[in-house]
Amino acid sequence: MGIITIERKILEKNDEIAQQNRELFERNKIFVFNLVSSPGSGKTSILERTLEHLAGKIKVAVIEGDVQTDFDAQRVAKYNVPVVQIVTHGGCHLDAQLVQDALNKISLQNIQMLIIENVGNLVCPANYDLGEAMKVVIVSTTEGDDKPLKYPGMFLNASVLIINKIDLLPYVNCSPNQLKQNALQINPKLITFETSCTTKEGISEWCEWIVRQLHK
Amino acid sequence: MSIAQNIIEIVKEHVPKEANEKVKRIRLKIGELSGVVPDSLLFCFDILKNGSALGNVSVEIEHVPITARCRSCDKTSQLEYGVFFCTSCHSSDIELLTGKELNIVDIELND
Repeated sequence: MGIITIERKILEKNDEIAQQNRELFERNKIFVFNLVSSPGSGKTSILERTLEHLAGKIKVAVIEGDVQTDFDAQRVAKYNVPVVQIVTHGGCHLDAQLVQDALNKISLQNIQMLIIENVGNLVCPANYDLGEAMKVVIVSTTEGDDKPLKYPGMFLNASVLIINKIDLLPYVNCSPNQLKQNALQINPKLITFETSCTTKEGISEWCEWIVRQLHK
Repeated sequence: MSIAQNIIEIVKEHVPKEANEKVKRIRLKIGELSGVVPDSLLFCFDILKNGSALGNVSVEIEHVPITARCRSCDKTSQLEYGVFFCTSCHSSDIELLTGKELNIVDIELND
């Protein structure tokens, strides 16, 4: 009976492609972040407000990941930025290969920032490196303040937490401080923002912060 | 499902095609923080293996607990899922040592 020792990561192939993507971004001096959240937390709305705020200041491109439809790409295209829609046809996350394929449709020399909106899911996208500089996790106040404790993997791997829909706080049972405390207990290095895409509260603080990351 | 697909691809990379039917067992290490539910992975693997030459394979999973070293008191402790501070001094300044594994360890073949 023979045993073949392998001892390697199951997602090693994905990590290798992610590293190629990362080197490509570095060569072209592009700051890339990966927006992750549950479905309905407001990834596309945050993206829209961000594009609005950065218009005329930073050259941005967007990769949209969805299980079905190009509705999000249509929303984003209104902001006059290059956008590529990836439809995963049932796949619950983006992987590095899908992103690499999408990059062929973007002229990287003409952009400074790439925003990848992942498929709405707080589990699998945590495991798939896409080559991004950082993951930005969004939790909305309607989801409750215990989300970080239920999905620690995502919060461990993220660099930024955006607490969205803070305009709804009077109507929901959620404490942003408790949510922050739960998230920081898992990852004390998380940088946090509180936003509302309806009132636009907190959007300029978030946008100014990401612009500063470009110059680092 | 894509993780199960990756496992099959790795096995096929390491085992010559003519020996695929001899593959008896695949050992995996799955960390508690990997986000992978072993039963779901096994379910997906069973669906995929039936369409491949790996129909006789069983998968054995070693569960890896979450352990961390405390940067304040330097002690290493095993953490409960969702509790991310040192169990000795309660500092949250910890370095994860294990728990994120999603590895294929080895493949056993019949003679």
